[in-house]
Amino acid sequence: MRRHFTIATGLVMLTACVLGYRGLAAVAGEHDLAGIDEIRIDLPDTPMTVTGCSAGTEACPEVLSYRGAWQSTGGTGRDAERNATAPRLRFSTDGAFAALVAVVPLEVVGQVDLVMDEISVPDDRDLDLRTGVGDVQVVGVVASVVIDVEVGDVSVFGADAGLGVHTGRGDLQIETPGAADVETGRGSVDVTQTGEGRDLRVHADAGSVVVRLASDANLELTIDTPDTIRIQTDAITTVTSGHFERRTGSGNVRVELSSNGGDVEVVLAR
Amino acid sequence: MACSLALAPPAASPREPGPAAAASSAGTVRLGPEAQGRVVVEQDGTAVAEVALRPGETSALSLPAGHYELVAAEGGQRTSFDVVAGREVQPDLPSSLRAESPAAAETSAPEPSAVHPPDVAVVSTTRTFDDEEPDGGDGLRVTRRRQWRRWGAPVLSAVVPGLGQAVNSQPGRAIAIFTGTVSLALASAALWTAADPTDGATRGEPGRSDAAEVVRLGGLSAFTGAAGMLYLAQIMDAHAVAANKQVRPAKGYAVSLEAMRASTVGFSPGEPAYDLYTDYSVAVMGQIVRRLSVGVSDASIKRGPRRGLVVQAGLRVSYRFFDRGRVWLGAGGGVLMQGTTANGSPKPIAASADAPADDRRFSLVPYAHFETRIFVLDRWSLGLVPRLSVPLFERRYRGAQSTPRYATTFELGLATGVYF
Repeated sequence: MRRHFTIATGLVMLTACVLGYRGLAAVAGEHDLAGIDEIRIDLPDTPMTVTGCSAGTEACPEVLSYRGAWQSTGGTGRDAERNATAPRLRFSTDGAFAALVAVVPLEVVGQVDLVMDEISVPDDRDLDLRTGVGDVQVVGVVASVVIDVEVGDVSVFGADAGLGVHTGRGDLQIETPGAADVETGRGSVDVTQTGEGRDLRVHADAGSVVVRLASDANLELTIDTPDTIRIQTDAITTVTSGHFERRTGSGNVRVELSSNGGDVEVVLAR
Repeated sequence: MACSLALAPPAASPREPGPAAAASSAGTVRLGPEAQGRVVVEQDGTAVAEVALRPGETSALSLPAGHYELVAAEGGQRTSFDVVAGREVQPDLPSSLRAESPAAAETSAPEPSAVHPPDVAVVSTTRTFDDEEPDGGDGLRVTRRRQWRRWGAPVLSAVVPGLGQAVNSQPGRAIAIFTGTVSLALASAALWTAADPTDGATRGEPGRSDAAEVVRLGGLSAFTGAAGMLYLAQIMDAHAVAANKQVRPAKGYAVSLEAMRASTVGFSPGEPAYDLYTDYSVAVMGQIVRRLSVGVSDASIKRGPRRGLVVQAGLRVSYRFFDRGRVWLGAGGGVLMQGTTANGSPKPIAASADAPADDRRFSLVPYAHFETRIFVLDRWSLGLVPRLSVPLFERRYRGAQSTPRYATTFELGLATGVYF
């Protein structure tokens, strides 16, 4: 009896693990963007850093280029290597629209993970970036930028033609001269308007909002939060909570800020 | 209170006859005096009284008319008898209860005269040794079982862990179960919320250390499993105590149904580097010869990758090499077959491009297992089932989780089974 239980206990202690190997395969690509106005990059969970180069200059070829790696698991070392090379990134076009997506064979779904390094594009191409879990950083793109992330911080410096950002969970740090519509499910938002005053909508389900406006002239400002509202600009100074509305000048620049749980602060960018 | 003690006064102080005695539908059962040990009186498989007998004593029970069985508390041979209203019966006792040297007794038990509820057994006794003083029924215990508790106690335990034990008059056990279940649930919740959903989001950030993550996932698996097993066990225990059941595992069962959760901590690509792989399944096993069972196992349907579906089932053989008391030990093996269907790869964006066909995969996973089962009721067991498997193709868990082919996998299964 005692021997049986010793065996049983030993087996229990041994349980609950998987033995195997890990693999890694580099991935790189360069795709012609002649005639392409908009690029969608739709990748599985991975951080993304997209850098725009000055279009039309010699240093900035008209291509989408990227580097990264596929990480994998396998029951044997050889299988791990094979699994890492099984997926690929597919670039396809339709008129002026191009898309870069990951094609992962069903047999390795769940056994591979993509980690992208830098992605480079000419700065005049509109961008649509999508991923699951991964921080996204966009720098130097003057065209419009749309970002949709499930979990991850997002930072954008540029997006002169307009910006749309959604992340389910993560902090947002934005510096843009363009109109912007940004929201996060859980995280703080920090927006700085550069250049002229533009329409701005910011929402945080749970997190604070800090906005640095380019100007407080001709403003139609609406703020909602159960926590503190603090505004300190040339034309408006207040500390309150709940709902706040103020119109200055012609009111043709609409700024809507809201948080379901977090302070909202508005100041002027200097 | 799950039971009450109803001790009749000794012969020297007989009961006062009740005015409604004539209307009673109860009969009298006399046990002894040539017996010793504890005997259980059952009706329709439910214990209605438990009596401690001593040589030379006669115990009289007032029971509602009906058919009853006598069995020693330790189990063994049964004898049956009928109680007729207003009549007295002295059934044969199981041989294991017969005293070796029965004292010649002159028994004169008082007539049970009071009117009692139909689910109440009343015992009276008379000492027959001249050198002993009547002690008010020392050694006699009659257990009154309220029928509603047989099912009420487990239902209450299902609603609030330990509550069934409380109504079964086991306050210590009730507190222990409630505290244990709540503690395990809180520990599980703490480990669950300790996961960092942003793990792997930032390039180059290693996230939680491998050891910490493995410990967290292992603890989460252990605590949730223990909480589930404790929860099920205390429900069954509440019924067993309320019904005063002596657990005798159904060794001769024909068919068993089993629900199992198998889980393991496995490596995953990227960050986080480890994940908890869990698989819920059911099995239907038949005992084809004594101790050997075969059947359909590991059956389940679950969500697959890319809004797909995973359907699995298998064949299993198991041999029970040890069964003593409530504990069974066994070993066996089988093969799990798994089919996966999923939407195809992303469609090229060109409008003229054809939509890719759905992907399909088939997998075989042979395994060997060891099983430890503890019976909480005659036909209900809880078990630990460690399993060793080597998938011949990738094995899918829920969603996009999968382990690669040839990845040796140790899983810990927690199972509950019912036997017919």
